[in-house]
Amino acid sequence: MNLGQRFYLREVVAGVALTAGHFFRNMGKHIAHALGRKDARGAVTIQYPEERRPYSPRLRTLHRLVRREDGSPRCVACMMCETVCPARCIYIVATEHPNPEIEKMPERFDIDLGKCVSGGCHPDGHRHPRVLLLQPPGDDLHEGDPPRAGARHRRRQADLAGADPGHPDGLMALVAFALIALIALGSALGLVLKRNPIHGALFLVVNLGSIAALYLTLGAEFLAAAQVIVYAGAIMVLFVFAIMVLIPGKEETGPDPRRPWRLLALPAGAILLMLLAVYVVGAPAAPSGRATSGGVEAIARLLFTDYLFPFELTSVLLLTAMVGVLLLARRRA
Amino acid sequence: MVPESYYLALSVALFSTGVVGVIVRRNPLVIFMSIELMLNAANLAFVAFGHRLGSNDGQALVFFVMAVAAAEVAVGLAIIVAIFRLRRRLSVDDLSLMRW
Repeated sequence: MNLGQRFYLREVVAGVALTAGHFFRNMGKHIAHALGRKDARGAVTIQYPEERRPYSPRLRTLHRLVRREDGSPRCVACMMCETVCPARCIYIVATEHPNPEIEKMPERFDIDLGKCVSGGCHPDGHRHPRVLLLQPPGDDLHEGDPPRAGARHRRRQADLAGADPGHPDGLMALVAFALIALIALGSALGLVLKRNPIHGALFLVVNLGSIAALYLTLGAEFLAAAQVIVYAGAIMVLFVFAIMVLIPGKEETGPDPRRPWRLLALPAGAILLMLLAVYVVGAPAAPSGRATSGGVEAIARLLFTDYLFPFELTSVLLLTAMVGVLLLARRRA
Repeated sequence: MVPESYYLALSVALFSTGVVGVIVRRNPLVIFMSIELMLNAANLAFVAFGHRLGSNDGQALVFFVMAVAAAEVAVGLAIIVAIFRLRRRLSVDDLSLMRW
């Protein structure tokens, strides 16, 4: 795919134009209908019992046993449809056919319509004169030509193998990453530069949310959820509460006697940034391991086996913190 | 797939921003928030390395970092509130009592 195709922009615009076209056309028809022009009808609304939609000749969801010329069912009770049926709604009882060349026939052939999902029940997805037993109206499948159907099936398989819509290739992921990274960096700078701490707290919320999004792109769903709940939910509430209680905004407005020293932080930060960048980004690429499943189960298994002791220590830590906070916040008698 | 080094670069940038914030700002609350920023940058690096190595250990570590951060914020904010109660001011420049 070339660069233009990889952005999907053209396809997105075309899809939106198609949808919008249908939308506005139907809206116009509905408005005309409401204004008295009864012959104008929107595309979607069919007054079902009075009027019925004509079936497409390609419909595969109406069940009907194909009959032989003598009227007996053509089914040979091969059980393939019962096997492939995803809803397990077909029940077949086989019996001997009087004709020794046919061998078998269904004694009972029941379809539980309460379970049926109208899947079409095509084993292997193409027309096979002996396998297929369900027939849409007006289309005798046994007269169909298996070679062409087979070719169509192969073409569909090739289409499916070619494009994997579940994993858009790198460029889109890169664009998404760049956007989230820009949000994260901008909100971090906002936190550091804004004078009002409540603004800083809001910027920090944005930053934490963008990092949660980055966790998602790295396949760490559990951490993304925990990030939102623990940081954005609990910790930031504490921060905002503290800011509100402590009447902020007056501490950093006065003259700063140590401003020259503080401004030294900028070159120091730049040097730190460069050092870290050299060390971390330039680190030798480790052998890429197997793809991880960042699901809750994998994390839980790790936490309760390899990291069981630290995990228990965490509970002690939280208890200690709780006791300490109570002690600190206690009103002196 | 975005290479992990991009995530590491972002993590480094966020961490440096947090360091600058800790040094530059005078409000202890904002300093605290900058520390949270640094912790998150480190967490991001953990997850990125775990992704590169194909292991979940990085995520387990981030879990512990989150727990420690929660405890740290609770205690730290309690200390700040206690100091504010005593001195009615809130600037790190005033808090030099324990300096040699």
